Amino acid sequence: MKVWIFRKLTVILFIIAAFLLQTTYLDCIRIAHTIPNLLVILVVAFGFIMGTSEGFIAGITAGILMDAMFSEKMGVYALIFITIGYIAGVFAKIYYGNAKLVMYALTFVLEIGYGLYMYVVFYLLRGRLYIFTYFIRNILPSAIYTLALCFLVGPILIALNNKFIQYKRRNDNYFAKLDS
Amino acid sequence: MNSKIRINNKYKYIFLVIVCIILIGLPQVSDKGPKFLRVMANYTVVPIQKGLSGFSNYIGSQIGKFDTYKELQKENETLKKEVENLNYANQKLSQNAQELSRLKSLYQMSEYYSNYETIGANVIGKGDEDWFNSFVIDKGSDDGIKTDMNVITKGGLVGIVTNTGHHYANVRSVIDDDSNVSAVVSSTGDLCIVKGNINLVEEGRISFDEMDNNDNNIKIGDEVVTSQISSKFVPGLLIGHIAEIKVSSNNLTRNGFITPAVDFSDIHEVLVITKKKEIGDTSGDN
Repeated sequence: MKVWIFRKLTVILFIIAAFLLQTTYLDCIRIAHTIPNLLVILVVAFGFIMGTSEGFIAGITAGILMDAMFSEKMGVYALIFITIGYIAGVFAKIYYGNAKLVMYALTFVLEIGYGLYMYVVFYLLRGRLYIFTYFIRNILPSAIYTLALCFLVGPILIALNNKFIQYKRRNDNYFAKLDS
Repeated sequence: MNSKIRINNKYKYIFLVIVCIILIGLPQVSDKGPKFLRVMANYTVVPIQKGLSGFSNYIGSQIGKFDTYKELQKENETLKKEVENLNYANQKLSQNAQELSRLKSLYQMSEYYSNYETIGANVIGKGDEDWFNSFVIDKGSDDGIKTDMNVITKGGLVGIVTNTGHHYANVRSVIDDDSNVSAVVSSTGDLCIVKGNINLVEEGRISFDEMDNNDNNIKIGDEVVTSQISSKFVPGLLIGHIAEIKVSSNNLTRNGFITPAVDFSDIHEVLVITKKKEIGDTSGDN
Protein backbone atom coordinates (compact mmCIF):
# COMPACT_ATOMS: atom_id res chain seq x y z
CA MET A 1 0.00 0.00 0.00
CA LYS A 2 1.22 3.49 -0.71
CA VAL A 3 2.66 5.11 2.37
CA TRP A 4 0.69 8.34 2.15
CA ILE A 5 -2.67 6.55 2.02
CA PHE A 6 -1.59 4.44 4.98
CA ARG A 7 -0.60 7.58 6.88
CA LYS A 8 -3.97 9.19 6.28
CA LEU A 9 -5.89 6.07 7.25
CA THR A 10 -3.84 5.88 10.44
CA VAL A 11 -4.69 9.49 11.23
CA ILE A 12 -8.43 8.81 10.75
CA LEU A 13 -8.33 5.66 12.88
CA PHE A 14 -6.44 7.43 15.65
CA ILE A 15 -8.96 10.26 15.69
CA ILE A 16 -11.92 7.85 15.84
CA ALA A 17 -10.26 5.97 18.69
CA ALA A 18 -9.57 9.24 20.50
CA PHE A 19 -13.20 10.30 20.06
CA LEU A 20 -14.43 7.03 21.53
CA LEU A 21 -12.05 7.38 24.47
CA GLN A 22 -13.02 11.03 24.92
CA THR A 23 -16.70 10.22 25.24
CA THR A 24 -16.33 7.10 27.40
CA TYR A 25 -13.16 6.31 29.35
CA LEU A 26 -11.63 9.75 29.84
CA ASP A 27 -14.39 10.30 32.35
CA CYS A 28 -12.47 7.95 34.67
CA ILE A 29 -9.47 10.30 34.95
CA ARG A 30 -11.53 13.38 35.71
CA ILE A 31 -9.94 15.68 38.28
CA ALA A 32 -12.02 18.49 39.82
CA HIS A 33 -14.73 18.30 37.15
CA THR A 34 -12.14 18.61 34.40
CA ILE A 35 -11.35 16.14 31.66
CA PRO A 36 -8.52 16.63 29.15
CA ASN A 37 -9.33 17.17 25.51
CA LEU A 38 -7.71 14.28 23.69
CA LEU A 39 -9.08 15.30 20.29
CA VAL A 40 -7.33 18.68 20.40
CA ILE A 41 -4.07 16.97 21.40
CA LEU A 42 -4.28 14.59 18.45
CA VAL A 43 -5.29 17.17 15.87
CA VAL A 44 -2.47 19.49 16.96
CA ALA A 45 0.03 16.63 17.03
CA PHE A 46 -0.90 15.30 13.58
CA GLY A 47 -0.88 18.79 12.10
CA PHE A 48 2.44 19.62 13.72
CA ILE A 49 4.32 16.37 13.21
CA MET A 50 2.96 15.16 9.89
CA GLY A 51 2.00 18.40 8.16
CA THR A 52 -0.94 20.54 7.21
CA SER A 53 -2.76 18.00 5.02
CA GLU A 54 -2.77 15.41 7.83
CA GLY A 55 -3.88 18.24 10.14
CA PHE A 56 -6.82 18.86 7.81
CA ILE A 57 -7.73 15.17 7.71
CA ALA A 58 -7.56 14.93 11.50
CA GLY A 59 -9.55 18.15 11.92
CA ILE A 60 -12.27 17.12 9.48
CA THR A 61 -12.64 13.67 11.05
CA ALA A 62 -12.81 15.04 14.58
CA GLY A 63 -15.17 17.82 13.51
CA ILE A 64 -17.58 15.49 11.70
CA LEU A 65 -17.68 13.07 14.65
CA MET A 66 -18.35 15.85 17.15
CA ASP A 67 -20.95 17.44 14.86
CA ALA A 68 -22.71 14.11 14.42
CA MET A 69 -22.95 13.41 18.13
CA PHE A 70 -23.17 16.69 19.95
CA SER A 71 -24.11 19.54 17.63
CA GLU A 72 -27.44 20.69 16.31
CA LYS A 73 -25.79 22.54 13.44
CA MET A 74 -23.45 21.07 10.87
CA GLY A 75 -19.93 22.45 10.82
CA VAL A 76 -19.68 24.12 14.20
CA TYR A 77 -17.06 21.72 15.53
CA ALA A 78 -15.58 21.05 12.09
CA LEU A 79 -14.68 24.74 11.71
CA ILE A 80 -12.64 24.92 14.92
CA PHE A 81 -10.94 21.55 14.47
CA ILE A 82 -9.93 22.34 10.88
CA THR A 83 -8.55 25.68 12.07
CA ILE A 84 -6.57 23.96 14.82
CA GLY A 85 -5.12 21.48 12.33
CA TYR A 86 -4.19 24.26 9.93
CA ILE A 87 -2.51 26.43 12.58
CA ALA A 88 -0.53 23.43 13.79
CA GLY A 89 0.54 22.77 10.20
CA VAL A 90 1.67 26.37 9.73
CA PHE A 91 3.78 26.14 12.89
CA ALA A 92 5.26 22.89 11.62
CA LYS A 93 6.60 24.78 8.58
CA ILE A 94 8.29 27.31 10.86
CA TYR A 95 9.59 25.03 13.60
CA TYR A 96 10.07 21.80 11.69
CA GLY A 97 8.12 18.89 13.12
CA ASN A 98 10.36 17.59 15.88
CA ALA A 99 10.44 20.54 18.31
CA LYS A 100 8.48 18.90 21.11
CA LEU A 101 8.30 21.96 23.33
CA VAL A 102 6.68 24.00 20.58
CA MET A 103 4.10 21.25 20.17
CA TYR A 104 3.27 21.31 23.88
CA ALA A 105 2.97 25.10 23.91
CA LEU A 106 0.83 24.95 20.79
CA THR A 107 -1.48 22.38 22.37
CA PHE A 108 -1.91 24.58 25.43
CA VAL A 109 -2.62 27.74 23.44
CA LEU A 110 -4.94 26.05 20.95
CA GLU A 111 -6.90 24.33 23.74
CA ILE A 112 -7.47 27.78 25.24
CA GLY A 113 -8.51 28.98 21.78
CA TYR A 114 -10.87 26.00 21.48
CA GLY A 115 -12.41 26.85 24.85
CA LEU A 116 -12.91 30.49 23.87
CA TYR A 117 -14.55 29.43 20.60
CA MET A 118 -16.89 27.12 22.51
CA TYR A 119 -17.72 30.01 24.84
CA VAL A 120 -18.49 32.32 21.93
CA VAL A 121 -20.61 29.78 20.06
CA PHE A 122 -22.54 28.25 22.93
CA TYR A 123 -22.73 31.08 25.48
CA LEU A 124 -21.87 34.51 24.09
CA LEU A 125 -24.24 34.18 21.14
CA ARG A 126 -27.04 33.61 23.64
CA GLY A 127 -26.08 36.74 25.53
CA ARG A 128 -24.29 35.08 28.46
CA LEU A 129 -21.45 37.39 29.41
CA TYR A 130 -19.62 35.62 32.22
CA ILE A 131 -16.43 35.03 30.25
CA PHE A 132 -14.25 35.40 33.35
CA THR A 133 -15.96 32.66 35.34
CA TYR A 134 -16.03 30.43 32.31
CA PHE A 135 -12.35 31.02 31.68
CA ILE A 136 -11.28 30.30 35.26
CA ARG A 137 -13.60 27.34 35.73
CA ASN A 138 -13.58 25.57 32.37
CA ILE A 139 -11.00 26.81 29.91
CA LEU A 140 -7.89 27.13 32.08
CA PRO A 141 -8.20 23.85 34.03
CA SER A 142 -8.92 21.83 30.92
CA ALA A 143 -6.01 23.50 29.09
CA ILE A 144 -3.63 22.59 31.94
CA TYR A 145 -4.93 19.05 32.14
CA THR A 146 -4.76 18.70 28.37
CA LEU A 147 -1.15 19.85 28.47
CA ALA A 148 -0.38 17.23 31.10
CA LEU A 149 -1.91 14.48 28.98
CA CYS A 150 -0.03 15.82 25.97
CA PHE A 151 3.27 15.09 27.75
CA LEU A 152 2.22 11.44 27.73
CA VAL A 153 0.63 11.18 24.29
CA GLY A 154 2.99 13.46 22.33
CA PRO A 155 6.12 11.23 22.42
CA ILE A 156 4.07 8.22 21.33
CA LEU A 157 2.80 10.06 18.27
CA ILE A 158 6.29 11.34 17.43
CA ALA A 159 7.62 7.78 17.65
CA LEU A 160 4.80 6.65 15.34
CA ASN A 161 5.71 9.31 12.80
CA ASN A 162 9.37 8.27 12.95
CA LYS A 163 8.26 4.74 12.10
CA PHE A 164 6.51 6.09 9.01
CA ILE A 165 9.57 8.05 7.96
CA GLN A 166 11.78 4.97 8.34
CA TYR A 167 9.33 2.86 6.41
CA LYS A 168 9.17 5.41 3.63
CA ARG A 169 12.95 5.63 3.43
CA ARG A 170 13.22 1.87 3.17
CA ASN A 171 10.64 1.86 0.39
CA ASP A 172 12.36 4.71 -1.44
CA ASN A 173 15.64 2.83 -1.28
CA TYR A 174 13.90 -0.22 -2.64
CA PHE A 175 12.54 1.64 -5.64
CA ALA A 176 15.84 3.41 -6.15
CA LYS A 177 17.53 0.01 -6.38
CA LEU A 178 14.96 -1.19 -8.88
CA ASP A 179 15.64 1.82 -11.07
CA SER A 180 19.38 1.39 -11.13
CA MET B 1 8.43 24.93 -4.42
CA ASN B 2 8.07 25.38 -0.71
CA SER B 3 6.10 28.63 -0.99
CA LYS B 4 3.89 27.05 -3.63
CA ILE B 5 2.85 24.30 -1.22
CA ARG B 6 2.10 26.81 1.50
CA ILE B 7 -0.18 28.89 -0.74
CA ASN B 8 -1.88 25.69 -1.76
CA ASN B 9 -2.65 24.83 1.86
CA LYS B 10 -3.82 28.34 2.59
CA TYR B 11 -6.39 28.12 -0.21
CA LYS B 12 -7.40 24.69 0.98
CA TYR B 13 -7.95 26.08 4.46
CA ILE B 14 -9.96 29.06 3.24
CA PHE B 15 -12.06 26.73 1.09
CA LEU B 16 -12.80 24.43 4.04
CA VAL B 17 -13.68 27.35 6.31
CA ILE B 18 -16.07 28.74 3.71
CA VAL B 19 -17.69 25.31 3.36
CA CYS B 20 -18.13 25.13 7.14
CA ILE B 21 -19.61 28.62 7.37
CA ILE B 22 -22.01 27.89 4.51
CA LEU B 23 -23.04 24.66 6.25
CA ILE B 24 -23.67 26.53 9.49
CA GLY B 25 -25.49 29.32 7.69
CA LEU B 26 -27.80 27.27 5.50
CA PRO B 27 -30.58 26.05 7.77
CA GLN B 28 -31.73 23.35 5.34
CA VAL B 29 -28.35 21.68 5.08
CA SER B 30 -27.50 22.51 8.66
CA ASP B 31 -30.57 20.91 10.17
CA LYS B 32 -30.75 17.90 7.89
CA GLY B 33 -27.02 17.23 7.70
CA PRO B 34 -26.70 16.05 11.29
CA LYS B 35 -29.56 13.62 10.74
CA PHE B 36 -27.64 11.99 7.93
CA LEU B 37 -24.48 11.96 10.04
CA ARG B 38 -26.41 10.54 12.96
CA VAL B 39 -27.59 7.62 10.85
CA MET B 40 -23.96 6.97 9.93
CA ALA B 41 -22.82 7.33 13.52
CA ASN B 42 -25.55 4.98 14.61
CA TYR B 43 -23.97 2.07 12.75
CA THR B 44 -20.32 2.93 13.33
CA VAL B 45 -19.43 4.79 16.48
CA VAL B 46 -22.37 4.25 18.79
CA PRO B 47 -22.14 0.42 19.05
CA ILE B 48 -18.49 0.71 20.09
CA GLN B 49 -19.38 3.40 22.62
CA LYS B 50 -22.02 1.10 24.05
CA GLY B 51 -19.53 -1.73 24.36
CA LEU B 52 -16.86 0.44 25.96
CA SER B 53 -19.08 2.03 28.54
CA GLY B 54 -20.73 -1.31 29.32
CA PHE B 55 -17.31 -2.80 29.92
CA SER B 56 -16.20 0.05 32.18
CA ASN B 57 -19.42 -0.21 34.18
CA TYR B 58 -18.78 -3.95 34.61
CA ILE B 59 -15.20 -3.36 35.80
CA GLY B 60 -16.34 -0.61 38.15
CA SER B 61 -18.97 -2.86 39.70
CA GLN B 62 -16.45 -5.70 40.12
CA ILE B 63 -13.95 -3.41 41.86
CA GLY B 64 -16.71 -1.97 43.96
CA LYS B 65 -17.57 -5.44 45.29
CA PHE B 66 -14.39 -5.83 47.31
CA ASP B 67 -13.93 -2.63 49.26
CA THR B 68 -17.53 -2.22 50.29
CA TYR B 69 -18.09 -5.35 52.36
CA LYS B 70 -17.83 -3.59 55.73
CA GLU B 71 -19.74 -0.63 54.46
CA LEU B 72 -22.44 -3.04 53.37
CA GLN B 73 -22.79 -4.45 56.87
CA LYS B 74 -23.14 -0.99 58.35
CA GLU B 75 -25.48 0.07 55.62
CA ASN B 76 -27.56 -3.05 56.19
CA GLU B 77 -28.18 -2.14 59.83
CA THR B 78 -29.10 1.42 59.08
CA LEU B 79 -31.30 0.23 56.27
CA LYS B 80 -33.14 -2.18 58.53
CA LYS B 81 -33.99 0.66 60.86
CA GLU B 82 -35.00 2.77 57.91
CA VAL B 83 -37.26 0.00 56.62
CA GLU B 84 -39.15 -0.03 59.88
CA ASN B 85 -39.63 3.70 59.72
CA LEU B 86 -40.63 3.51 56.11
CA ASN B 87 -43.10 0.73 56.74
CA TYR B 88 -44.81 2.92 59.24
CA ALA B 89 -44.72 5.91 56.91
CA ASN B 90 -45.94 3.73 54.07
CA GLN B 91 -49.00 2.67 56.02
CA LYS B 92 -49.86 6.26 56.69
CA LEU B 93 -49.22 7.24 53.09
CA SER B 94 -51.27 4.42 51.64
CA GLN B 95 -54.16 5.58 53.74
CA ASN B 96 -53.59 9.08 52.43
CA ALA B 97 -53.29 7.78 48.88
CA GLN B 98 -56.62 6.00 49.09
CA GLU B 99 -58.20 9.17 50.29
CA LEU B 100 -56.40 11.14 47.59
CA SER B 101 -57.48 8.84 44.78
CA ARG B 102 -61.03 9.12 45.98
CA LEU B 103 -60.81 12.90 45.99
CA LYS B 104 -59.05 12.98 42.63
CA SER B 105 -61.68 10.88 40.91
CA LEU B 106 -64.10 13.26 42.49
CA TYR B 107 -62.39 16.19 40.81
CA GLN B 108 -61.44 14.23 37.69
CA MET B 109 -57.86 15.29 38.04
CA SER B 110 -56.34 11.85 37.91
CA GLU B 111 -54.95 12.56 34.48
CA TYR B 112 -52.45 15.02 35.83
CA TYR B 113 -50.84 12.77 38.37
CA SER B 114 -51.17 9.36 36.73
CA ASN B 115 -48.11 7.14 36.64
CA TYR B 116 -46.17 7.83 33.49
CA GLU B 117 -44.94 4.92 31.40
CA THR B 118 -41.18 4.89 31.09
CA ILE B 119 -38.38 3.26 29.14
CA GLY B 120 -35.13 2.49 30.95
CA ALA B 121 -31.86 3.54 29.30
CA ASN B 122 -28.15 3.57 30.08
CA VAL B 123 -25.90 6.60 29.73
CA ILE B 124 -23.25 5.70 27.15
CA GLY B 125 -21.45 8.96 26.47
CA LYS B 126 -21.25 12.59 27.34
CA GLY B 127 -20.35 15.91 25.78
CA ASP B 128 -17.02 17.55 26.40
CA GLU B 129 -18.51 19.66 29.16
CA ASP B 130 -17.31 18.59 32.57
CA TRP B 131 -20.66 17.82 34.19
CA PHE B 132 -23.55 15.87 32.79
CA ASN B 133 -24.87 18.95 31.02
CA SER B 134 -25.69 16.89 27.99
CA PHE B 135 -25.22 13.21 27.48
CA VAL B 136 -26.05 10.29 25.20
CA ILE B 137 -28.31 7.37 26.12
CA ASP B 138 -28.48 3.96 24.44
CA LYS B 139 -32.11 4.03 23.31
CA GLY B 140 -33.27 5.85 20.21
CA SER B 141 -36.16 6.41 17.84
CA ASP B 142 -36.42 2.66 17.06
CA ASP B 143 -37.00 2.02 20.76
CA GLY B 144 -39.82 4.56 20.85
CA ILE B 145 -37.87 7.61 22.01
CA LYS B 146 -38.84 10.93 20.47
CA THR B 147 -37.53 14.46 20.74
CA ASP B 148 -38.89 16.43 23.73
CA MET B 149 -39.56 13.38 25.86
CA ASN B 150 -38.77 13.96 29.54
CA VAL B 151 -35.94 12.09 31.20
CA ILE B 152 -36.02 11.23 34.89
CA THR B 153 -33.99 9.16 37.28
CA LYS B 154 -34.96 7.77 40.65
CA GLY B 155 -34.48 11.16 42.31
CA GLY B 156 -36.40 13.38 39.93
CA LEU B 157 -36.24 15.29 36.67
CA VAL B 158 -32.95 14.99 34.76
CA GLY B 159 -33.69 16.71 31.46
CA ILE B 160 -35.21 16.42 28.03
CA VAL B 161 -34.39 14.56 24.81
CA THR B 162 -33.02 17.05 22.28
CA ASN B 163 -32.48 14.76 19.30
CA THR B 164 -32.55 11.08 18.45
CA GLY B 165 -30.74 8.54 16.28
CA HIS B 166 -32.01 5.05 15.58
CA HIS B 167 -30.50 3.56 18.70
CA TYR B 168 -29.29 6.52 20.71
CA ALA B 169 -30.55 9.91 21.84
CA ASN B 170 -29.07 13.13 23.20
CA VAL B 171 -30.37 14.47 26.51
CA ARG B 172 -29.97 18.02 27.80
CA SER B 173 -30.09 18.19 31.57
CA VAL B 174 -31.87 20.85 33.61
CA ILE B 175 -28.56 22.21 34.97
CA ASP B 176 -27.46 23.09 31.44
CA ASP B 177 -27.14 26.79 30.75
CA ASP B 178 -29.59 26.43 27.88
CA SER B 179 -32.35 24.88 29.98
CA ASN B 180 -35.53 26.68 31.05
CA VAL B 181 -38.28 24.77 32.84
CA SER B 182 -41.64 26.12 33.90
CA ALA B 183 -42.12 24.94 37.48
CA VAL B 184 -44.40 25.28 40.46
CA VAL B 185 -43.81 25.22 44.21
CA SER B 186 -45.94 22.30 45.29
CA SER B 187 -46.82 23.66 48.74
CA THR B 188 -48.19 27.02 47.61
CA GLY B 189 -48.77 26.68 43.86
CA ASP B 190 -46.57 29.61 42.91
CA LEU B 191 -45.28 29.39 39.35
CA CYS B 192 -41.67 30.12 38.46
CA ILE B 193 -39.10 29.48 35.74
CA VAL B 194 -36.17 27.23 36.63
CA LYS B 195 -33.03 28.08 34.70
CA GLY B 196 -29.70 26.30 34.50
CA ASN B 197 -26.74 28.59 35.02
CA ILE B 198 -23.12 27.82 34.37
CA ASN B 199 -22.03 29.91 37.35
CA LEU B 200 -23.97 27.63 39.69
CA VAL B 201 -23.06 24.26 38.20
CA GLU B 202 -20.10 23.78 40.48
CA GLU B 203 -22.15 24.48 43.60
CA GLY B 204 -24.64 21.90 42.35
CA ARG B 205 -27.52 24.37 42.25
CA ILE B 206 -29.91 25.78 39.71
CA SER B 207 -31.60 29.15 39.81
CA PHE B 208 -35.23 30.15 39.50
CA ASP B 209 -36.97 33.48 39.01
CA GLU B 210 -40.16 35.18 37.78
CA MET B 211 -42.06 33.99 40.84
CA ASP B 212 -44.81 36.34 41.98
CA ASN B 213 -43.91 38.38 45.06
CA ASN B 214 -47.15 37.63 46.89
CA ASP B 215 -48.05 36.81 50.48
CA ASN B 216 -47.47 33.07 50.14
CA ASN B 217 -44.84 32.00 52.60
CA ILE B 218 -42.34 29.80 50.81
CA LYS B 219 -39.90 28.04 53.09
CA ILE B 220 -36.45 26.68 52.41
CA GLY B 221 -36.81 22.98 51.58
CA ASP B 222 -40.14 23.30 49.78
CA GLU B 223 -40.55 21.01 46.80
CA VAL B 224 -40.39 22.43 43.29
CA VAL B 225 -42.05 20.32 40.58
CA THR B 226 -42.77 20.81 36.87
CA SER B 227 -45.94 22.78 36.27
CA GLN B 228 -49.10 22.09 34.31
CA ILE B 229 -48.58 25.03 31.99
CA SER B 230 -45.19 23.83 30.78
CA SER B 231 -45.21 23.18 27.05
CA LYS B 232 -42.66 20.38 27.06
CA PHE B 233 -42.51 18.89 30.54
CA VAL B 234 -45.24 16.66 31.92
CA PRO B 235 -46.52 17.98 35.27
CA GLY B 236 -45.55 16.77 38.71
CA LEU B 237 -41.91 15.76 38.20
CA LEU B 238 -39.70 16.69 41.14
CA ILE B 239 -36.97 19.15 40.17
CA GLY B 240 -35.53 19.91 43.59
CA HIS B 241 -35.94 21.79 46.82
CA ILE B 242 -35.75 25.52 47.49
CA ALA B 243 -32.34 26.41 48.89
CA GLU B 244 -32.54 30.19 48.94
CA ILE B 245 -35.23 32.72 48.10
CA LYS B 246 -35.21 36.50 47.97
CA VAL B 247 -37.24 39.36 46.52
CA SER B 248 -35.94 40.69 43.21
CA SER B 249 -34.78 44.29 42.96
CA ASN B 250 -37.93 45.24 41.04
CA ASN B 251 -40.06 44.18 44.04
CA LEU B 252 -42.53 42.40 41.75
CA THR B 253 -40.99 38.97 41.59
CA ARG B 254 -38.93 36.65 43.72
CA ASN B 255 -35.90 34.64 42.72
CA GLY B 256 -33.43 32.27 44.32
CA PHE B 257 -31.78 28.90 44.08
CA ILE B 258 -32.87 25.27 44.02
CA THR B 259 -30.91 22.22 45.11
CA PRO B 260 -31.69 19.63 42.44
CA ALA B 261 -33.06 16.27 43.52
CA VAL B 262 -30.68 14.44 41.17
CA ASP B 263 -26.93 14.13 41.68
CA PHE B 264 -25.74 15.37 38.31
CA SER B 265 -22.11 14.44 38.82
CA ASP B 266 -22.96 10.73 38.69
CA ILE B 267 -25.69 9.41 36.39
CA HIS B 268 -25.67 5.88 34.99
CA GLU B 269 -29.24 4.83 34.33
CA VAL B 270 -32.20 7.02 33.42
CA LEU B 271 -35.88 6.56 32.66
CA VAL B 272 -37.48 8.22 29.65
CA ILE B 273 -41.15 9.11 29.99
CA THR B 274 -42.90 8.04 26.82
CA LYS B 275 -45.83 10.39 27.31
CA LYS B 276 -45.17 13.66 25.57
CA LYS B 277 -46.72 16.95 26.48
CA GLU B 278 -48.17 18.43 23.32
CA ILE B 279 -49.58 21.91 23.64
CA GLY B 280 -48.60 25.20 22.12
CA ASP B 281 -45.75 27.18 23.55
CA THR B 282 -47.34 29.15 26.34
CA SER B 283 -44.86 29.27 29.16
CA GLY B 284 -41.63 30.00 27.36
CA ASP B 285 -39.66 26.99 28.53
CA ASN B 286 -37.38 24.90 26.41
